[in-house]
Amino acid sequence: MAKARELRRRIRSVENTRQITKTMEMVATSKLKRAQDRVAAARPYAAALAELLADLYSRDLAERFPLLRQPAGAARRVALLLITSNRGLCGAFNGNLIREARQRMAELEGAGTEVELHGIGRKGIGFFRYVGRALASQRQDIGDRPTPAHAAEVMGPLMDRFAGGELDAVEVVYAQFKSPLSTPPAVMRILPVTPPAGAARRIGGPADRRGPRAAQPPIRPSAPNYILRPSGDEIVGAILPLYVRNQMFRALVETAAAEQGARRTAMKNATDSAGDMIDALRRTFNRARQAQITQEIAEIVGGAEALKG
Amino acid sequence: MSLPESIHLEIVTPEQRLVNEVVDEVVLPGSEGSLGVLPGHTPLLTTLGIGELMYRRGTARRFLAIAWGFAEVLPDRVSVLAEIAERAEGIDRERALKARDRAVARLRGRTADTDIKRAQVALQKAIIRIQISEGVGPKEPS
Repeated sequence: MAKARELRRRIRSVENTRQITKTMEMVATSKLKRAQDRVAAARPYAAALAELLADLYSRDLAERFPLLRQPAGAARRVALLLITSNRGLCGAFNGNLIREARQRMAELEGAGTEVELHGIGRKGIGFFRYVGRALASQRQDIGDRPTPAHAAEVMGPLMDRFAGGELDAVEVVYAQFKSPLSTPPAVMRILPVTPPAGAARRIGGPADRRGPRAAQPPIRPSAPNYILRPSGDEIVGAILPLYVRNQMFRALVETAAAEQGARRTAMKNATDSAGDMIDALRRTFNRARQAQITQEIAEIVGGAEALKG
Repeated sequence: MSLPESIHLEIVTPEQRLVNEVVDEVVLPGSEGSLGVLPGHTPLLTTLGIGELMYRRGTARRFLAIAWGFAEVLPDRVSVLAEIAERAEGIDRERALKARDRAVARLRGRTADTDIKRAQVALQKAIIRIQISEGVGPKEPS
């Protein structure tokens, strides 16, 4: 009977695990919904900002605005930001991000560029602490709901240092949120600002299609026909930091949504596997129980036969 | 080219799209002063300061608190990209009053490590919120 008892205990333990993973799956699903809404809500602003910048941008601006300065020749020093989640149990999500970051680091360092690493999110920080790589800065307080203020705090010092010529580029490794099931890691170059191409102005995602703009193209003069208040330079000077911050904000929001998507998938798989395991264990358990009953009957019958003598 | 008869107004912040509708008139808090826009306005691009934004459809007026950002004005549409935008209805007047008092107290009793700029911004934001929240109902003669 020892085997049956052992099996029963294992079944109970796997059932408990399944209950936990199932709950986590449901929590992730509801968080995912909200995070997805935030990604969608951030889109019109990002699109409008990109459009405005594309309208205003001209090549000669690059010389006047430090945030647009392209590094001459090879970059000497690059800041690489790695966004990961604070919590695990989301499958290969963080592993993928970390791998992408290491790959990018190797690429940059291979080209003789000095890389300083900034960590956002506990998992990435933990990994690089483990491998003994120093981080230039780290923060773990940006949770499920990144705000524009978070993005501004992260980018503020980096923008200053870039403008001061201390950094030649700022890149961020984040998870693109293509869909809850597809969250590939990606590298985005935030600084120097690469203006969105004028031709790709309509970032025609599904979110934009509803606007009346899609139905009829607006009366849009080219940039020189605008009245610019205060002055063109001042507007560009004000818009660039906003654009930079918004890029960062989008990376944060997308990663947050991607994390929930990855967690939901991971937990769903775990729940399904637990179910399979329980089925297999229960089958073994029943077989053991039946074997035992059969054996007991055989013994009783055998005993009765012996008594008849 | 005939002039458009209405303006398509879109107000977005980094976090959400607040307004997306057709209106007759918009008054913006430009960084160089208040700016009224009617349909058929000359294309204009301006930075925004802190202040109230009003828009009117027929006789219905709505107010928003706006802080920083840009407005792009075209003959038939106005896009406002604001860092902060809040509907008058969404403003908690009590909280704004408290925030104002806090900011004032911080500025009065400032020490070496007071973040003056932050306190000033907080004060400005609180004041504009209070103004907006007062602007919703019928204005009482003072």
